[in-house]
Amino acid sequence: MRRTIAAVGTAGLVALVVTPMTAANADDDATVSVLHAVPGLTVDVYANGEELIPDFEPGTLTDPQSLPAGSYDLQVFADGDTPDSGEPAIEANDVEVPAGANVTVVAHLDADGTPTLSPFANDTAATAAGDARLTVRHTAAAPGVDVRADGDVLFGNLANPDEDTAEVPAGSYSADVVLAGTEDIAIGPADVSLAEGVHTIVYAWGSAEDGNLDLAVQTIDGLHSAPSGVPGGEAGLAPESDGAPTWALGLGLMSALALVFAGRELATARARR
Amino acid sequence: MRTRTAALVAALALVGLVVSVFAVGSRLGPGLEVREPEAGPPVPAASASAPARPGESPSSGRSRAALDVSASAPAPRPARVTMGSVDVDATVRPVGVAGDGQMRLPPDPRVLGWYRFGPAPGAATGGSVVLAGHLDSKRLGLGPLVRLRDLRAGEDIEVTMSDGTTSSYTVVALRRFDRQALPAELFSRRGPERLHVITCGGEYLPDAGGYQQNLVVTAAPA
Repeated sequence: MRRTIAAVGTAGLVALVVTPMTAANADDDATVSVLHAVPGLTVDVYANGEELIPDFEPGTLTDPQSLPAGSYDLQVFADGDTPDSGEPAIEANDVEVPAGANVTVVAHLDADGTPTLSPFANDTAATAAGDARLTVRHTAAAPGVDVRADGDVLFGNLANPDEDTAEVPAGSYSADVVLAGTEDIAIGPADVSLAEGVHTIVYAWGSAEDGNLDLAVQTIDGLHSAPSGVPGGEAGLAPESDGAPTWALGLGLMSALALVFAGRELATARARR
Repeated sequence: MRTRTAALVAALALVGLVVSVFAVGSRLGPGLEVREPEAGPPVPAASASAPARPGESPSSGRSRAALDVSASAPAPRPARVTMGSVDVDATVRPVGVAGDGQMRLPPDPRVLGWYRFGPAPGAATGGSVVLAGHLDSKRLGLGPLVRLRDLRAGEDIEVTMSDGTTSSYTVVALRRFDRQALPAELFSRRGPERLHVITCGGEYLPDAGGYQQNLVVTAAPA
């Protein structure tokens, strides 16, 4: 296992990132993105003891990588530290990454401000035609919040590290985050564009106490479906009959009969002559 | 005498047969029924919106996850479509999806809708540009798309964009589908670029939802 991860973590990373689709389609693989949402700390991320992401800065998201499904021990070290030289800043053992899953692992603060790692499963089911999927994940050192879209509460009383999701008509929304049950705006308002057929995942991150709450956004596209139909008419002014017009069939039948009778008549006449 | 009558009848009957066969034939083969391999590879279940850029350093497969609030200029969209051979010259406006999950169409049959969630002409992703319109309306009567059924392979369709540029297409197929069985591939967002012009067709059964079929003209970039 160590060897596999070593390959993925170093040379393999390039190839996997360049051809994510092919790799992701393999049955035994999972698609994994990593979001760094701990303010003020550049880190190196290790998976099963091997460096997976070097020099990882807060507010950055890795491209989705295809990793073999399985159990991962994840460690986050302050930049420069290694498993041999230092203690991990954050650690999560036995993080299960199931085959076929699309997962985002988030390094973030818990409600009390302690760095932690949370894996979230991303819904990649198809969206209805015209719709977008929105998920909001509370990964900030902050109390419970309401997420509002165009002034209405879309997700109520969301607490760290919970998430909520909804399918909404694609379009642009004015979104803000308020302390649960209040009008006290914690983040925003910001115009969030939710594209059709795209799963937009918004992370609230940072620390209320330190005044650095922010939003991070991840998108998963290609989930669209086609409209169920095209209702192209309503008045019945230009119907097309199925197949041939009746008169043509009738004429054909009559003509064929007439031909048979006439032919027989001619044959009889010739025989008589 | 009987012989001459019989010969006359036979001749008339032959003419009748020819007329009948022609009428049946022309009706059974409306337009053309060229089949083409349906466009494009299957749509992936999920792909990242931030594609990897080969050539960057190995550790760069990542991006700022900040909320993008920069307003991009609106992309050109189809504004007009002309089909000279069947005398169609119609305004096009962007449309989406109606509450029932069907493509929303302009109520005026003289106006076509462009499915704005799909590709526009010349999109880098290729895929299907879908234009659709009502064949007729109770209030406004027949629209120009009634002549769509007269299009033939090789004839031209021209789409004028909102920025004045034009995209030219050549008709490759005219097909009919049962209304409930319109293939999702007609709305493909990847693969070779195709223009699909869709309206209603087939029998009109007021008690069974109206027109029973969709008429689909497929055209490829000229």
